[in-house]
Amino acid sequence: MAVKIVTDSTCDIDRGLAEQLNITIVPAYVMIDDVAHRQGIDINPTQFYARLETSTRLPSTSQPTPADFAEHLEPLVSGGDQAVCITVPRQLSGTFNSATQAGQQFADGAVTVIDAGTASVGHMLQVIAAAEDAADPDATAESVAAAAQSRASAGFGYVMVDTLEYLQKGGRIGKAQAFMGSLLKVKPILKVADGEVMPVDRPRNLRRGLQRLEELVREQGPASRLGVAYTTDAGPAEDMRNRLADLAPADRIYTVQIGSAIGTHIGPGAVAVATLP
Amino acid sequence: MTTTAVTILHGSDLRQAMLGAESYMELYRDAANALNVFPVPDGDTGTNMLLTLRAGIEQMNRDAHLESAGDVAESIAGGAFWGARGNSGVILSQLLRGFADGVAGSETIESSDAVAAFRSATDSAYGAVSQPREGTMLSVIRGASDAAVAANDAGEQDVVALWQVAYDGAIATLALTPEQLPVLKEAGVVDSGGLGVVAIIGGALQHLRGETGSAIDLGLRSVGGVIDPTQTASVSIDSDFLEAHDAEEFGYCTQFVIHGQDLSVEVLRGGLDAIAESTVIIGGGSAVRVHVHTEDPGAALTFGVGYGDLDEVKIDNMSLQNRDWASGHRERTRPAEIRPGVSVVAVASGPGLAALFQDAGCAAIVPGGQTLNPSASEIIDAALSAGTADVIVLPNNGNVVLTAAQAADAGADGIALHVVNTRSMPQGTAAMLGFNPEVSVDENLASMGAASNAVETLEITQAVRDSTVDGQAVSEGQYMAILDDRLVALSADAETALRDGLTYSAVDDDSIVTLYWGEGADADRAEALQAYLETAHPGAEVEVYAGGQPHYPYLAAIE
Repeated sequence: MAVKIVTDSTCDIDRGLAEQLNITIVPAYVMIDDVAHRQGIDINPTQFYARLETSTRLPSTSQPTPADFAEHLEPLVSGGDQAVCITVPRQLSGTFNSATQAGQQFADGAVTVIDAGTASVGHMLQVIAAAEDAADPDATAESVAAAAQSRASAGFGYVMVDTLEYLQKGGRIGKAQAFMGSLLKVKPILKVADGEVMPVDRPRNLRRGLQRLEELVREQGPASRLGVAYTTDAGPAEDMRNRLADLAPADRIYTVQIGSAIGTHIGPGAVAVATLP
Repeated sequence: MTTTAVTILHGSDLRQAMLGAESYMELYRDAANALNVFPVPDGDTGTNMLLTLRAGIEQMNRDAHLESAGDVAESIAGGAFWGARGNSGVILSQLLRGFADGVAGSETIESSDAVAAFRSATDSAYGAVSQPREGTMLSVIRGASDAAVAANDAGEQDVVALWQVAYDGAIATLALTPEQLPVLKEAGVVDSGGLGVVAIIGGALQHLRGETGSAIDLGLRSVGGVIDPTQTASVSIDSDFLEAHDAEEFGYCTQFVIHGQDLSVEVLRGGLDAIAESTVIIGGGSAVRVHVHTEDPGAALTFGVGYGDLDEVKIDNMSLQNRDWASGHRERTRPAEIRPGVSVVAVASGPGLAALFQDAGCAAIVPGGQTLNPSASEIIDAALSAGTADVIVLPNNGNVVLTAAQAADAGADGIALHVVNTRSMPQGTAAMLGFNPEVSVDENLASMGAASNAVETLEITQAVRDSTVDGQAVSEGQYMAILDDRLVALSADAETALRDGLTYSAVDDDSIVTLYWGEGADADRAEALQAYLETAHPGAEVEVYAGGQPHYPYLAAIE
């Protein structure tokens, strides 16, 4: 009997790394011109961003169904394992509810669902840390879930976007509405924590923005893991990684491309960064 | 009042004295405006002092039932406090506050009371500024006060005689201001605010003497090399003017802004004088602010509509107004609900700049800054309209900083006002981008202050007269490039002034330059400048924006 980690594809974890760490990924859907694509299976980021910029209608996202979760959980639970499922925040998506409903179909304690509080790369770091906890032969579902819950409560991610237009159109702008101004060119920086999208700062260009992101991450203190992510342009994310390379051990720094689910809401040109204490 | 010597002043004498002060401030308004050290077309000292004084007198007229000298002085100080515009207006309002404190509770003013009032006025005026400088209106009121103290010590019992001594002291000190403040000497002027103080004390004196009909000679021609104020004064006092003021407590105080094209102050004044009294018109070009007293506000508005779109219409019935000023508290229309949180109000002139502040999340705009400086009252009204418990004010002009501080000191029911001391529009936009409604007011004050300090401001404007500034001879009509309040370049055309001025800034290949073009410039020329800057500083980002600001063809933020 072991503890297995389950997550949804919006955490943008690399599929190879997920396999290596024994993490089960339940794909979210992205709807483009009325066709549903499973994230990371039917459509990869390169294909998605090409469509995002050319599609006449903004793509939309859709959470995995309870049946999707049940389908992925069933083999684990029937094999005698317990599952800890870490999802994108419930304020941003119905994924947490789908997972919870699916979990109720199994015996008590078989499935624990945790809301990551933050999204994409911040969510990913929590999933990786939980998978390493779960690999410990002495781990129990309770201990893995408790540690995961405490990381989720403190979880955060910063994202700098080219425009807030995608967040607004996708209905996820929240309090970042305050930064909607469009007359002066700015690169809004937002923080995603406790499931909320909060405005942070409005640097005038990419260079100042990367500087500011670095300051914000350093203010969070020492890190055990660092993740950087981008939607379309890897350069600024690499820059960010180099700036912050001293913060975490080299093998615990991750760079990922943000996939279609989060990409729909933050658009091309976005850079994200997160750490775990 | 008669011309025979009096030894004490009653409340009614003080009322007369204030009307005299107002008429002389009106007379010397243009002269004081022309004396600004920087020959720039904004921040008019004379206009600011006149409107501040007039706000005090309007309140005095509304409080027609008050009889004691102490109460009348208090009424004037209360009105001037809320109506204070510009730095000189704020200092004047504090001077009047001190004067009122000096005679508080007094039924009449005896010579010893007058001395106490002059002293208290001086202390209060010095207290209005954080770093008082000599050679300014502060020195002039102190000169008046010192002379009055000396005369009183020498046994002078007659208040009017004492007032004469104070006036002589003020004149003598005004003449010394170029020696005390080198920038005045260099520019060849006496201090403009000091001239205002002399005019106010002198005007009051003339009415105290019972000489209400003709102008008195302020005797400034004796000051070597200075401008003769009477040469630039365009109006003279006549009995019609004074009668108009006697009628002021009746009818409606009617104010509005006209937005139009090629608005002429003279034409508007001519038309309005026929239907209203106490006409004050400020501005010109695309916007003017009108302030009249009339029995028929509808006629004044109809007249205004003929010249453009009306805005900020405000009509007060002067006969009915009965507000509680004695406590220093003015009743205002409070928003139905004050919600927790922070918002920003900004002083902005120019439709483009106003739109920009709103777009960036500003809750309310106080029009003005580069044309008419707003009053403390206008700032508070805007703060109330924002509806949050904390409101941050961006004055966006060096001459509005003190007014904003005065508004913040006064505060309003349920609302705390805070000021980030932005001294230019570019500093203001930078501060605005540092605003985040989701964090505390203290965090915002820190981030907005830091953001505004990270910006250099380059302003291009035309000299309104010949002058010498920072050792450079400036000719009327030349374009001046002013970098953070320092004249750095001069040119016959605005674009050259901007290009030359930028070489004194910290602009480099990593800079962001935001160019706001206003009246006197156009999009094509601004874009040509953008192309030039992008070539001169490869890597720098140059953004061009239509600010629409008056008087300044270009404002540039370098960050």
